[in-house]
Amino acid sequence: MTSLNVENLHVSLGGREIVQGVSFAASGGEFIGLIGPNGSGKTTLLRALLGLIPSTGSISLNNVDLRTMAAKHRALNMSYVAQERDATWPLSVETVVSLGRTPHIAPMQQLKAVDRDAVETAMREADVAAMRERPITELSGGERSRVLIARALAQASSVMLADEPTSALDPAHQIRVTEIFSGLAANGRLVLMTCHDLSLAARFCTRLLLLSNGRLEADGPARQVLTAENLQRVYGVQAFFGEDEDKLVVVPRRAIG
Amino acid sequence: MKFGLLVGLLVGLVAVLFCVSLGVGPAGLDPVTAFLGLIGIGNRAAELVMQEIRLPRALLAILVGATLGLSGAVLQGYLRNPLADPGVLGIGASASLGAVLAIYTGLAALFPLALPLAAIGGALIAVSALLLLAGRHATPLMLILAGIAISSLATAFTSLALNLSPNPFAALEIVFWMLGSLTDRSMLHVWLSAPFIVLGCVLLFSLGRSLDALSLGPDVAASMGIRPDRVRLVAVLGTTSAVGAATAVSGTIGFVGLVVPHLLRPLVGSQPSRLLPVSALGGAAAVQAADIAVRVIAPGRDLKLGVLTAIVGAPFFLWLILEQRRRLV
Repeated sequence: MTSLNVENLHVSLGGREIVQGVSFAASGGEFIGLIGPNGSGKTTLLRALLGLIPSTGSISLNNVDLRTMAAKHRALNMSYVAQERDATWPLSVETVVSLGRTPHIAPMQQLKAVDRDAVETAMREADVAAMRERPITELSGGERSRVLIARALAQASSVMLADEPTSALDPAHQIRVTEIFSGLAANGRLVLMTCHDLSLAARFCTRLLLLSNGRLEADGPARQVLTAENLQRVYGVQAFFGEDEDKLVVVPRRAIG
Repeated sequence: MKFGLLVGLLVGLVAVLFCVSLGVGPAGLDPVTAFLGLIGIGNRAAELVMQEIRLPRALLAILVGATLGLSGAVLQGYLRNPLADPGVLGIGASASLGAVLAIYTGLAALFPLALPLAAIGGALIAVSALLLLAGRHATPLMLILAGIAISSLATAFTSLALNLSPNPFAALEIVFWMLGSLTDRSMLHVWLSAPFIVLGCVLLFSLGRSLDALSLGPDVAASMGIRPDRVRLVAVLGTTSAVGAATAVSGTIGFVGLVVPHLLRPLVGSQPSRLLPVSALGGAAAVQAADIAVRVIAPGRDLKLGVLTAIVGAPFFLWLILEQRRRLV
């Protein structure tokens, strides 16, 4: 089973320490919500896990040091949905999703049947198959997000890191996208998703990590992490707490301090 | 349009233009004599004209054009900017400076290969400076800035050479060389430039898949196993080798590297990897056509190839921009 071990991770960018000694262990089947205020280091943590920026401390995947892993091998194990929805050229949706197969195909080779199947499945799961011919630059923000999520799904890796995949989505697609990630976890993958919608995270994630100023403030199930005390201290908000279908509902009501 | 069909059409176009180019010239050979001369039977004069004058010229048009189109497509893809062209890294300007110095010092008059060799030397110095200036983890922006700095410096030294040129003939020779032309090149020029151009083009072609991935941004590309430092190095070295060698034999030929990828991009669904082969072919066709045009429009006046590509290319580029704007609103 997939296991990700992070120990005492530090990341400095431009002389500022953004991530300060984060440690956690996670395994396949978990759907982890990475929450915390703006600037708390969520994106930086994800980028460090992907090896996009230098970091110190240890990161290992299935007991192999991620930093010694070849780029292509790492790509077969980890996929990424970035917060920025960059798309330079008006590529068709299908072409963009096919890019997810990049680490799977040998140099100078074309997509094989198995790759095409993965692309089709990913497009269906993210509900973008109907717009396969359309250029990505002409899609709405929400549609574009779903296409980029489909791209990451097509990569078919055991770990999925998604940076605010639900922002800019309408409520139905927020739920649908989160359900896709939830389904990946149910099938034994490890999903790490940053999110600002606390109720959505509480409803779907099996575990929450609360970051504040680069440190891990809380780690556990939603009810343990989303306490009135934590929200006040970390987010500076007072919130309404409720219940819905046995799940915690959190609605921030006013900013304090 | 189907990709295979497009490639086929462009190959056909390049082949036709190649044959036309072999058939055009002040010697006024009829097609049969020209063909017999080319394959080395028939009269000696025709053989000389075909093998020593027209063949190298037509071959160089393909090599130089393919280089400009391909490197333009790669740099636009790598820098993720449709306005990038082979000049953006300062390689062409530095190669020019090398050539100008060869003319200025009189080396070029001593032995003919001094000029292209000096140009390639200029390109090599430029690429070393570029990699040093931009550093190991350079972003595309830093690469562009370093390229502008190098380009400006090379242009300044070229101006200095003109400024201090010992006599007006040397200055005129420098200016004429810089205008860009394929007139009176020999097979020696082909043999000298072809290895560098082929090597550079192979490097540039190998980047197709990385450029596709980069269209989703550097982070996502890296998460798919693309190594940004490797892509940058291959792009810079490939451009240096091909553009340096092409500039060495032809001088500066503008707008082809900018306009050709731009024109062909919609025909390949904007996919950078598919744009590479069609831009190479399109560039070869464009330079070949322009080199035929300079001979047809003003025979005997030695209209410079670089002048024609700029005069046709710039308004064409304007039209493209207007066309795009109309599609947007």
